[in-house]
Amino acid sequence: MRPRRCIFFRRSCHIERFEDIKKALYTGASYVVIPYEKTFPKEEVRKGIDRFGRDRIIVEFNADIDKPDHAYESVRLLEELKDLGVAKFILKHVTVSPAMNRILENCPLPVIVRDSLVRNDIATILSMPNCCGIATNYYEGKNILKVKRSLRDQGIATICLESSVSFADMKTNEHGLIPVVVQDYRTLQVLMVAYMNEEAFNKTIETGRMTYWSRSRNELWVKGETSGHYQFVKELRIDCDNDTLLAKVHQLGAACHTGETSCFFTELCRKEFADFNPLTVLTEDYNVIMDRKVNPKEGSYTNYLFDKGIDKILKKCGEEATEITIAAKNPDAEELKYEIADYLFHLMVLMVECDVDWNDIVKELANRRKS
Amino acid sequence: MEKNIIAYINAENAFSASVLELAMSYEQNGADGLYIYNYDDNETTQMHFLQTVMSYRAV
Repeated sequence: MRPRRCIFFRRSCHIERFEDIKKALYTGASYVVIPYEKTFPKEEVRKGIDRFGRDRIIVEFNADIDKPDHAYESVRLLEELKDLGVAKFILKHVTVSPAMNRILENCPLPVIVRDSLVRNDIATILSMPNCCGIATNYYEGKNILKVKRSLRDQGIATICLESSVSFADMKTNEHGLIPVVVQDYRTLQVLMVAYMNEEAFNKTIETGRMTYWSRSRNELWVKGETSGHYQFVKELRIDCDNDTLLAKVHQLGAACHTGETSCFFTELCRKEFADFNPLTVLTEDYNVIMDRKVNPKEGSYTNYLFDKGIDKILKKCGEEATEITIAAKNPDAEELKYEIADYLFHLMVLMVECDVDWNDIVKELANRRKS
Repeated sequence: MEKNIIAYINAENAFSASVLELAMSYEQNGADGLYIYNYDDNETTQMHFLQTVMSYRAV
């Protein structure tokens, strides 16, 4: 099962500078789409590729022969763009024809066809050689998963949810049910536990929305159908005994019927322990620093830094970074740990001052790993 | 070759909230990607557009 999320983003029809590409990719977009023009900023694109890596830029052409951005038939130009590090091409206003098929066949990179789908049949477009997808607004408000499943049945390799283990091979209880532990896909917080029967499992795979079997109502239960608090499947796993499912979901609103994020909000007992989860620790420290900024505390070093302002914070970050480099030359790792912790503290003060949080950083890192 | 269904959203003259709502709806309905564009060259509009795309990332 393969969850996906990527953002194509078009800055404008006049990207002229590397700065424009930078700003666009800094939004978190996976790609920036640049329409081809006679004054195509090749050098700026090259700079963008040097900075952000290959395969982050898509070039769009117009298939309409009378338009100025009609240049996709020049194989030499396409090869040049490929060598530059362009990821894909987008071709708009395509008329399906044998001639177009030949052009696409010779295209050195995969092509996304942009089409309103009013005239053309999606299956025909997706079957064109070298066509890796279609960009369309035709499916607004429609169930795209269903469309993809139907296309797959026609032999087109669309990306659908598919289980590697069939329900028949899972161990259910005497009522034909299997428990499902549900986690938030970002925080991994356990949200709830529910049960699925075969119908609920198949419906979950088919629709991408978590569907359970309600043991109290004795009926199929699409989570969120009444409350709007849907759960969208990101990943499903099964345990070593094939008798419990683990679902990572994108939860809209609260998972619990009480309005709590998680159903596990009641503490039964607790023994003090130190939380060693890196992101939890960093996030909690960040929140304390944020709280100092909002509710200043007399004598607080953090407030001293905020009062002095950005220049002081930057100076401290610079000093702490230098101390790391000195400590790293020391064979005793303890000093290095201490200096890194000091640096991270000052870095978080800077992050709070500049309104950047750990989620932003983690997303950026995840985005780089993806691309 | 895997075939992607990508939703495209024209963000020109659209409220940020409605672009975000539409983007979320496409994603939840199974789109493999989103192609959000804005042809407007006005600097302020473009800044606003960048903010919108950034907000989507944060959702």
